[in-house]
Order: sequence, then C-alpha cells, then structure tokens
Amino acid sequence: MTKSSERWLPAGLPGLLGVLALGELVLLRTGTRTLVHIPGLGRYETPIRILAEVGRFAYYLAVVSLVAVLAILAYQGIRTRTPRHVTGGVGALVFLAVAGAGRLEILAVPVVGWASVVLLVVVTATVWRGLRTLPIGFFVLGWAAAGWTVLGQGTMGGLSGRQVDTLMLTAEISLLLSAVTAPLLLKGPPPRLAILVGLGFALVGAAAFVSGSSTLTILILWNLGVPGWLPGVGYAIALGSLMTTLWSALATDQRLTAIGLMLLTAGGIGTISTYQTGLVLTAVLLFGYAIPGPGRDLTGTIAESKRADSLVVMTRPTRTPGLPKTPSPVG
Amino acid sequence: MRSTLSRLAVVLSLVLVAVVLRVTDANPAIAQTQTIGAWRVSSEPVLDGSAPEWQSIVPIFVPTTAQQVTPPMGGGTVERVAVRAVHWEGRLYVMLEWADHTPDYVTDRYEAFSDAAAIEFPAEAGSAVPFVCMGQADQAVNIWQWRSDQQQDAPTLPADGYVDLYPSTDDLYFPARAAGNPLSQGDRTPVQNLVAGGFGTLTATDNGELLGHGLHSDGRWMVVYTRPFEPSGELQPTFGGEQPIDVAFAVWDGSKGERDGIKSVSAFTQMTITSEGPPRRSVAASDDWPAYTPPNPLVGVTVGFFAVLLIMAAGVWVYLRRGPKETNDEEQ
Repeated sequence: MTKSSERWLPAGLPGLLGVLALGELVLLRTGTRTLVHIPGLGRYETPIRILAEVGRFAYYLAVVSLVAVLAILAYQGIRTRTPRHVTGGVGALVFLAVAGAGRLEILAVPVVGWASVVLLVVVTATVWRGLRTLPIGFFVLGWAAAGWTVLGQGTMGGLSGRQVDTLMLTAEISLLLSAVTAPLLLKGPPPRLAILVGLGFALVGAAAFVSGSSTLTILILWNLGVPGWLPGVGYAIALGSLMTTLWSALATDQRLTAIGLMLLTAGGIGTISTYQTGLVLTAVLLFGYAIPGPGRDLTGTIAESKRADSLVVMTRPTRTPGLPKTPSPVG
Repeated sequence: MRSTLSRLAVVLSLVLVAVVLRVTDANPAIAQTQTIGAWRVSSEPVLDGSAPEWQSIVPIFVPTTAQQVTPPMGGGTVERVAVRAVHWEGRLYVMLEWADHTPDYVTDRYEAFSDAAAIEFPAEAGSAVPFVCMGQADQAVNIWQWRSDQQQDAPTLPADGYVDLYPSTDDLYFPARAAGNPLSQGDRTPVQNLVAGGFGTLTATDNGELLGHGLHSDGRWMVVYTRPFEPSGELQPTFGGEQPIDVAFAVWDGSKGERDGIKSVSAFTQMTITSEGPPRRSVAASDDWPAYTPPNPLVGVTVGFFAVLLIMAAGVWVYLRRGPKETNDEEQ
C-alpha cells in the first residue's frame, strides 16, 4: 500500500529569490546605468540615488535568500535519498562551504572558481534529461567556456588572444542557443499568447539593436558576461524565445521552470561572482525538480505549486502508471 | 495562521540579516572576475613597454567591445587588450598592449584622430562598482588617458611637414591656453588625470606624479602608466591595500575614426597588488602577436580540461541512469 508521504520545499523562497535577483538586475545593474542618460543628470540625482539604494538592498536581500534557498535545496535533496537529488544537494552544500571559505579568505579565489565549474558541471549532469534539458546544457557549456577565460588566464599561466576569443565566442553562441532552445524546458508547446509576447519582445529587441540607440551591447557585456560580438538580431531572437518560455511557464503553472529562467538570466555567463554563480546553480537544481525523468516520479518529483504566493509548498509523490503501489523510501 | 506567522518570521529574518549586511557594507559574495596581478619587482620598471622585463611577464587578455551607451557611439575595432601590472617601492605600473598596424601620432586635420588608451578606477573602493562609462552620480571614477599626439617625443610631424609660427605669445593669441584647456598648456603630458561622476562631468585634475609613455613597435602599441600608491588629490584611489581594485580599460584607434565615445571598452575587472613576483615567459624573437605562444601547452590543457569535464558529466549521468532501477528495486 502506498504510504502517503509528505515532503516540504519552501518553493516560495526560490520565487522570492527570483524576484529579488531580477529586481537587483533591473534596478542596480541596469537601471542606474541607463538612467544616467537622462538629460540634466543633476536634477534627477536624488531619484537615481534612491533607486540605486533600493537595488543595492535588493542585492543584499537576494544574497541572503540565495544562501537560504541553497541550504534548503541541499537539505531537501539529501533527504530524498535519490542519487540525483542527493548529488545536487551535496553540490549545493559544497558550493556554500567553498564560497564561504572564499569569503573568509581560507580558499583562494581561483580555487573557488575551479570548484564552481566542477560543481556546476556535476549538478548539471544530475539534472540531465536529454532533449528537454538541452537549454541547460548549452547554458552551462557557455558558462564553463566564459569561466575558463578567467580561470585559465589567472592560474594556468595565460591564454593566447585567439584562445580568449574562441572561448568567449563559444560562450556567446552557447548563451544564444540556450535561450533559443529554452521552450524545450516546457511540458508542452507554448500557448499562442506566449508566442505573440515573444515575437513582440524579439521585434522590440531587434529594433533597438538595429537603431543602435540603446545601451544594449554594454549591458550584455556587463550583465550577461559576454562581449556582444554576435549580431544583435541573434540576441533579439534569443530574447523573444526566452520571453515566450517564461510567459508559457508562468501561464501554465510551471513555476519552478519560470523561477529557474529568472535565476539564469540574473546569474549570467561565466565566473562573475559567487552570488551570480549561486544563482545559476540554484536554477539548475530547480530545473532538476521541475523536469522529472520518466518513471522516476515515485520519489524524486516535487510537484510545482499552483499557489504562486505560497512560501511553503506541500508536495506529494506521484505514481507512475504501471508501477506497483509501494511505500516511498522517504516517508 | 501558524503557517502565515512562520512565513513572516522567515521573511523578516532574511530582511533583518540583509539590513545588517547593508549597514555594515559586508558583502557575503566575492568577485570571481578576471584578476590582474600587480606583481612586486625588485628593480625600477622602465616606461618602455617593449623592454624584456615587461614582455616576459605573462599578460592577462581583457576582451573589449564597442561603446554603445552614449553618443557618439561605436568603435570596437580593438578586440582585446593585454594587461600587465607591477609595483616597485610604492608605485604602481600598468602596461597596456594592443594590436594596431597604423600608428596615429598627428591630429593636424579635422578628420585625423590620435591613438589613445585609458585606464579607469572607481574613485573609492566599495561593495558596488560604478557604471563603467564615466561612473555615476554617487560613484565617481578616476581615468588615466594616454594620447599619442600629446607625447613630446613622438614623431608629431611628417618629414616634409611644416608649422605656422605665431610671433605673439600672449594669451590673446592662445585662447585655449588662456581658458585653461589642459591640452593647450605648455607643460603638457601624454597622460591626463581625469575624474568623472556621470556623462558630461569629465574633468581634468592635477596630474600629481601620474606619468606615462607609449611606444609603437611591430604593429602594436605598448603604453606604460605609473603613479604612487597615494593619490595627489580627491576622487582618486589609493593603492597598496589587500583588497582587489576594480579597473576597466578603453582603447582608441585614430585611423579607424575612433575618438571621444567611439572606442573599444572593457567591463570592470579586478587588480590585486601582491608581494609575489610576476609569472614570466620566454620572449620569442618573433612573437606571433596577438596569438603569442603561451608558456604552457595550453591547447592541450584546454582540451584536456573540457575532456575531463565531459567524462565527469558522462560518468555522473551514467551512474544516475541506474536510479530508476534502484528506485524500483526499493519499491518492490
């Protein structure tokens, strides 16, 4: 007989983290850098200062939330006792320990960087579900390539200019491919409205790139960690695809997928800071819960909440048709 | 009710910790961006960037891109800058090197522009770095800009060139000098010390002991800047601390029409002043710049690294594929 087990994941907290990280991205990393275009800067100095301060506080709150979410994901993953989630959980714990040791200067920054790359690759392997997780694979490949330009130059004795170019281009192409293939993360085809929304964003993005009247290239370099060497149209298509996926995920209650996309966007490509690396790691871990493997729902799946504002989501194991009713190993 | 209270408690706890961190300016995260080592050297560095003592130091390549923030926009013809930094007896030396096959020393026509390079530091260290383009209202930046046309020993005129000579030397005939234009003063230097707190606020300030010198050789510019750790005035950073310093770079190629905002810019990266000596490489007689041969067989190492990652990922995935069987076994 099935023993109904209940496991708990504060899924509202990742949601809060997603909102805070995007808020910080919009206000601090983007807003304060674009608002300076306003003519007569002096007149708007006070509002800009206020927005910057709000963004800075959102950053600190996001960092604190990130630590809490990673700790919860570690606890939750280890508690499930399934190899993939245990590996993910241990990965989250190790990352927290390594990042903390880096902050306390117990570990050198390059060691933290190398550990981040290894952890992210291992955790990505644990969430790999074939074609559906292809966008995550592309993103992490790009992340590792961009990270390699930093770590390879810092500790390996140098890279040649062409190697740097090749790695950065790999990172940029991977980033765009990740965004373009993002709809694969969804459970089904995107709704028509989501496609229209994506088209709208793609058109606006293309117009902004073509007109050259925007801050987009430098913001891409600054926020996403890639130099923006590829044509702007590629970025416009990627933006449209990403928005279609995000809209679809929100409209069809695929909440963890939506949060994961938000965190990847805020995290960016490459080893930029332990905060941004943590966002990417959290996103990958959440995708591991959002995209269950076939026939593995008995123990590993956390159902996505329909209560978008919920801080605590109660999850129940779902049963794969054809398999016998048995007690869950995690009661 | 109990659930609501527990949620509220969690959120309030997070907010409280964030407030404490903000007030104390204690950032729990650390930067993982490129770090440029400012290495300790035992003898005074020369301002000639082509000298073996500079060329033997392993550089850090910093990618650059076109400036697209504010008009005039564009540039991006230089894709990367090689950066080396050392310190000696309380002075910081930074050398920038980039490929440019057409040195531009002379700005004798409206459409002629000088080659140039700039280094930007936040005026004050902080948990957040300022906007890379001229800083922002609450976070100023200090910029060291070197210009080839301002360098006294550079060939400023072609062999068949000539100059007009004004017989009068009083301010009436030199309005720019009289107005205080720093580029028109007699004691001009190739490096300007500038501060800015947003667009339209760029201001020249006292150079103090900021020096610099550029040299063009073998299709590349090598420009060395130096300044004491202690600044000569306000809105300039102090060096020598243990914390990394944020730093960004910009390069102009005059013959490609680059001037003002039309340039190649990098994002902020970090520089760490260390007591260790610089990593050296053997300087080949014919460096295949910009793809010079690295000191290690990096191609093999790079391929090996990605191969290891791939094998590791494949191993984890294969191991996890046993999951359903294990799970089902447990469920039998």
